[in-house]
Amino acid sequence: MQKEAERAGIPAALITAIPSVAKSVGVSRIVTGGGIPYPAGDPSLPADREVEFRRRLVEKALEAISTSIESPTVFNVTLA
Amino acid sequence: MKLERGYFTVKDVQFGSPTSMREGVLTIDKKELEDLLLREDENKNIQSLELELVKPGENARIVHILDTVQAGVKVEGDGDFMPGQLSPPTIVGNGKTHYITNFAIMECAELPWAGKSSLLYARDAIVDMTGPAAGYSPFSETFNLILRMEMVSGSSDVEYDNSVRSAGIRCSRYFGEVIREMTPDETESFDFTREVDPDLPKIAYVTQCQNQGTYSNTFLYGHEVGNCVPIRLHPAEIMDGCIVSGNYVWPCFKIPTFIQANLPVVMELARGHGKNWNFVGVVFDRGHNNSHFLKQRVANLAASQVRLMDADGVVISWEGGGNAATDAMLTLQTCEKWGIKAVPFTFEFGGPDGTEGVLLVDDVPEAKYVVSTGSIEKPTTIPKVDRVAGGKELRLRKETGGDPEPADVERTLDVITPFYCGANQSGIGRLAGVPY
Repeated sequence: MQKEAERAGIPAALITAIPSVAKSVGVSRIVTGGGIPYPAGDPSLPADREVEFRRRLVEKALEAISTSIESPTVFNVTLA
Repeated sequence: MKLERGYFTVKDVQFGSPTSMREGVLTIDKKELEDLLLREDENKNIQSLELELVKPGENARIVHILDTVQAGVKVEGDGDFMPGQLSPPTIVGNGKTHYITNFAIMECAELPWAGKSSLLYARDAIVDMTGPAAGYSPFSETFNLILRMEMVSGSSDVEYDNSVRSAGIRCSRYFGEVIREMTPDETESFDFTREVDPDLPKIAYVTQCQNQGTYSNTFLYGHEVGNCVPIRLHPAEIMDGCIVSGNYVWPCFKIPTFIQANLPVVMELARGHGKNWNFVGVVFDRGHNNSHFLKQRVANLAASQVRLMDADGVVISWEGGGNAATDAMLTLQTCEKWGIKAVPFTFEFGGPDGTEGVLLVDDVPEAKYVVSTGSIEKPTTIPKVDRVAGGKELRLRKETGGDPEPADVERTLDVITPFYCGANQSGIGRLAGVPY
């Protein structure tokens, strides 16, 4: 889906727990997420810290789609 | 460690009385064993249990297979065969163990699908004893004792799993007692105490099991391995059954308990130990770790165990499809980075002709030599059969609620995932490569 969106001219970022798989299938903008059952969060964190983690993931994704890149690039966030 | 394996090969298996083994014919007292398995199921999760026999070459299909166990018994040395299962978790691997080589105990039952996630539920596993799909499973060539069970309703997943697995273990112990005092047809000795030529290459094996919770579980010395860090095991411990499967998800990938005690790479490396190479040991760990961080962690810890054994080369294989490939490929990458040559076993995608799209879930540039265990996307037509064992119907479509479908009819499956061991990455199988 990320690749098709970009092919259509819409910058897109994929939040995923396994950036290596995203890279191997040719996703260009990759954000390392929380875990496979919870890519856009981490329920093991206390609630307030998880909210902050999720915010950072979304902000990092926004940064990824507004960054010019040459090849598949992984963007990482620090845990809240 | 020093282990002698005594092998019994059955010529036939029949119901009769009393349970005995004479001139290669195994006679099973059906009622006695059924009663025993029901009586010893302490919490009464098994509502009914019927034993069925299925023989090689029979026009038959086995369905609802959860796990397959070998009949075996520890004759000399500490611990029991499959230690920790209804027995103390005593370290095994020394002494003498008896096994029946071509007789398989199959636990078959429909476990509940309601409320399960879209991935982790007990899928229907199929073995065809003849026809085009027979070659997908080593158990088309064994005499199979089917434990056809119906479970009571309302128990927990953990209870169902425990009852099903324990029934198989009890069955193995029951036949183990039959062969305990007998003289095996063949024996094979593995003496790891001898000096080994220091110039031989040092080879290790990493076997990564599946563990994602109940129904997708593996047990080491009687306990599930969710929090297990990569651990070094002696090959002889594995031959004595210290790894037991509780994995009922993807049938084509799961490594049955029977195979865990006879892992092809372990057996082959052990047979060539001291002659062709120095088999320095096995690293056992779990895949399907939930995040990239945890995958990197398990890969580093597993590779570290390999390096601590001073290995020159390592064979890596994993159980399960999907994201477990990443844990294993990162392990391979770490080993290669440290100068340890590494080769993985993996299934492939590739569409009907094996060449379409992305072939592997994940790979790394360091994986230069890869052993394929076959494509899972090859459509296969299975014929109508005379007899179905293990259950009456098939459940293949969870997305439609798992409505039962007739099991004996001809049907075409788009992928081979329901065939038990059909793309198994442990090295069992009858696939051959053809250059084109």
